[in-house]
Amino acid sequence: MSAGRRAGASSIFWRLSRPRSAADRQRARRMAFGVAGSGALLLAALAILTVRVGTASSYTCDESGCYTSFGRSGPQDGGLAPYVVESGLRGGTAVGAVLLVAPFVLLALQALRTGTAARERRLAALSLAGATRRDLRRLAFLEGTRAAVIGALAAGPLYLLLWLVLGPALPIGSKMLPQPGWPILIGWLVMVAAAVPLGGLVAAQAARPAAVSPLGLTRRRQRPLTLAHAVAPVISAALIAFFLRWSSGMGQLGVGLAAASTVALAISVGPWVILFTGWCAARRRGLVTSMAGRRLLADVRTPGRVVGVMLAVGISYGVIAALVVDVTQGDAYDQMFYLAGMAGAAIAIAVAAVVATFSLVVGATEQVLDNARSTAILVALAASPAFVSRIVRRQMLLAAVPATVLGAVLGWIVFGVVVIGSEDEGVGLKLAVALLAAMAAAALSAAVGALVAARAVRPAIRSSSGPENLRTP
Amino acid sequence: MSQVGVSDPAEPVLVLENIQHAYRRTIAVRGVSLTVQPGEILAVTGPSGCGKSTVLHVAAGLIRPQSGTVRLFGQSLTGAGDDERARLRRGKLSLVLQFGQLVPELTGVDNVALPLLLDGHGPTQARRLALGWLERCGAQELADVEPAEMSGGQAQRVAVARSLITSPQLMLADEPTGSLDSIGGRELLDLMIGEARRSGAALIVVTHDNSVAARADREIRLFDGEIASEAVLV
Ligand SMILES: Nc1ncnc2c1ncn2[C@@H]1O[C@H](COP(=O)(O)OP(=O)(O)OP(=O)(O)O)[C@@H](O)[C@H]1O
Ligand SMILES: [Mg+2]
Repeated sequence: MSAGRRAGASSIFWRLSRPRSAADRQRARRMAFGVAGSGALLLAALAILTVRVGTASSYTCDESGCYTSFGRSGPQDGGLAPYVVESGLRGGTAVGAVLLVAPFVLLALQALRTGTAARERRLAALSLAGATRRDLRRLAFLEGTRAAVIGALAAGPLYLLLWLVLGPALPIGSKMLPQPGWPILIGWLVMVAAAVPLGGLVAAQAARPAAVSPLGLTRRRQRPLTLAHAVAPVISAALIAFFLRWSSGMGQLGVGLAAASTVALAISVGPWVILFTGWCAARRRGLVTSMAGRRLLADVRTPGRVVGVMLAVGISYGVIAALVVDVTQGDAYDQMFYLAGMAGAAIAIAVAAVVATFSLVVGATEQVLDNARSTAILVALAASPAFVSRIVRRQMLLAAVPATVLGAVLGWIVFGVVVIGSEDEGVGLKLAVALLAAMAAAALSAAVGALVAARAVRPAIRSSSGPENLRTP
Repeated sequence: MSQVGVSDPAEPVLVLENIQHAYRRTIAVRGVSLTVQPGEILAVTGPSGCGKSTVLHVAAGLIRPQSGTVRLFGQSLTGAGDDERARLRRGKLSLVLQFGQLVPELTGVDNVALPLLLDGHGPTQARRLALGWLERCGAQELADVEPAEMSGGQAQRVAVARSLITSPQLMLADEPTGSLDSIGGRELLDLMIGEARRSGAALIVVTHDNSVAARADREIRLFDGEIASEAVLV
C-alpha cells in the first residue's frame, strides 16, 4: 500500500509542484531569486574569508607583468582592497556580506509565505478531494525544494557576475573579491546539495499553520496588533538606554547589545509606523492617497516587517552622512581610506533598500488577490487597472519612504549630534548638509524600490481585474 | 432497498442531531435533526439562503457546527481531525459542489482519479478506472482537458465522475445540475440516482428544481434554517 501510495500520489504532487499560472511562476521566481541572492552573498563571504595572502591565489598580471604579494613595490595581493586582505578588517567585511543576505532571505520567505490565488484554489480543491494536511505539506516540500535548488544553482553564475563587478571591473588595490577558486566551487556544490532538504523543510514548515478550507474560503484573517507588539518597542528602547548607560563597564559587549536592541527596536516599531502613516493618509482628501492609506491599515503587519529594514537603511544613511562629516575633519590619507569604505557601504545599503522594498510586492500582491472580487468590481464599474496600479504605487511609497527618512534622521541625531557634535565645535553647517544628504539618499532609494515594486504588482492587478473574478465565491 | 457494501443494514449512514450553526452574524441553521438510511435518496429543497448548503457541508464534515452532533457511518465526527475527515472524502463519502471543486492544474482524467491516487492506488490503474467513469458520465472527451477550458456543465460531469469512482456509501450533491441545461441536468441526475440505486449508496441532493425532488425517496424543505416540512415520496 505505501509503495503504491508513493507511486500514485507522488506523480501527481510532482506535477502540481511545478508552477503553472503566471502568478505561480512569479512566486517561484521570487523564491529562487531570494535563494540565489543569499547564496551569491554567502559565497562572497566565503571568498573573502578564504583569501590566502601572498600565495599563488593572489598572483596577478597586468600590462607591466605578473607579481605576487611578495613583489616589493607592485600591486599587492591580487590588487585586493585592504578591507579584504588585512586580517583585522576582513572579518568585518565578510560579516557585512552576510548581513546583506537578510533582505534576500526576507524576499524568499515572503514569497514562500504568501501563496497566489491559483495556489489557494488548488489546495482547496485537493483538500476537497481528500488530501490530508500531510499530503499538502508534501506538496509544499516539493515546491520549496524545487525553488531552493533552482536558486542555489543560480547562485553560482550570480556570484561570478558579482565577482566580475567587484573584482576585474575595479581598479587594482580596491578589488573586493578574489578570483574564484576551489573553495567557491565546493561551497556552491554544498549549497545546492543543502537546498534539497532545507528548502523543502522550510516550505513544509511554512505550510503548517495555513489552514486550508476545502470550501476554498481561505481569506487571510485580519491579524490585529497584539499586546506584544505594543510592549516590544518600549522594552527595546529601555534596553538601548540600559546598555548605552552601562556600555562603559561592559566594553565591546555593551555596545554590541545596544546595537542588537536597536535592531529589535527598528523591527518592533515597524507596524506602528505603518499604522501612523496609514492613518494620516486615510484622512486625506485625495481619493488615491486615502485609498492607499486604507489599504495600509487593512494589514499593518506585512508592510511593518519591511519598515524595520527601511528604518535600518535610513539609520545607516544618517550614520554614514555624519561619519563623512567626522572624517573630513581628519587628515587626507585617512580620508581616502574611510571614504572609499563608506561609499561601498552606501551602495550596499542602497541595494538592500531596493531589495527590501521589493518584498513589499508580496504583501501587496496578496492583498490584490484577496480583493480580486472588489478590484474586479471597481474595474467593471469605471476604474481602469491603471487606477488600481496608482493606488498600489502610492501605498508602497507610503510604506517605504517615511520609514527610511525617519531612520536617516534618527541615525543622524545619534551619530551626528550626540557623538560628533558634542566633540567638535563649528561643524554645524556640515552636519546640516549631511542631514539633508542622508534624507535625500534615503528617500531616493526607498522611492526607487517602491516604484520598482509597484511595477511588479501589475500582473496581479491585471489578472484580478478580469471579469472571471466577479463570480469566484 | 438493497444494501450492497454496508455491513449493518440497520445502521443509518448519517445522523444529524440538533445542528446549529452561525456565520459571523447570520444564524444559517437552527436545530436541524435528520437521519439518512443506507440506499435512501433524499432531496433537500428550500428558498435561497435557507441553509441547504450549510447543512450539506456540516454533513460532509467540511464545517464544524457550533452545536449538535454528526454521526457518519455510526461514528461521531465531533472529535475527528481534519485528516480523518479528508480520508472520509476519498473513501466512503463523496461530494459534488456547485463549482470550484476541480484542481485547475490537472486534466479531467487526473481530477477523476485523484481520490484513488491520494489513497495509494497505482497511477495506471487509477487512470483506467477514471476513464471508465468519465465515459459513463458522457465526458470521455474531457479526459485531457483542463478545468479552465471546460464549461460549467462539463466541469460538473467530471465532478460527478469523480464522486462515483470511490464507490461511496454516501453521496452528497449541492445543486449538481445547477449549471446544466434541463436535459443535461436530467441525464446527470439519472446517472447519480441510478448509481446510488445500483450500489445501494445513499444520496442527498440539494436542489431548487422540483422535478429533481420528485424523483427522491424523501424530500425535506428548509426554511430560515429550520426543517419546515418533510414528505415521503413514492
Ligand atoms: N461563508 C459564509 N459567511 C457568512 N455567511 C454565510 C456564509 N455561507 C452562508 N452564509 C449565510 O448563511 C445563510 C445560509 O446559507 P446557505 O449557503 O446554507 O444557503 P442555501 O440554502 O444553500 O442558499 P442557495 O440556495 O442560495 O445556495 C445565508 O443567509 C448566507 O448568507
Ligand atoms: Mg447553496
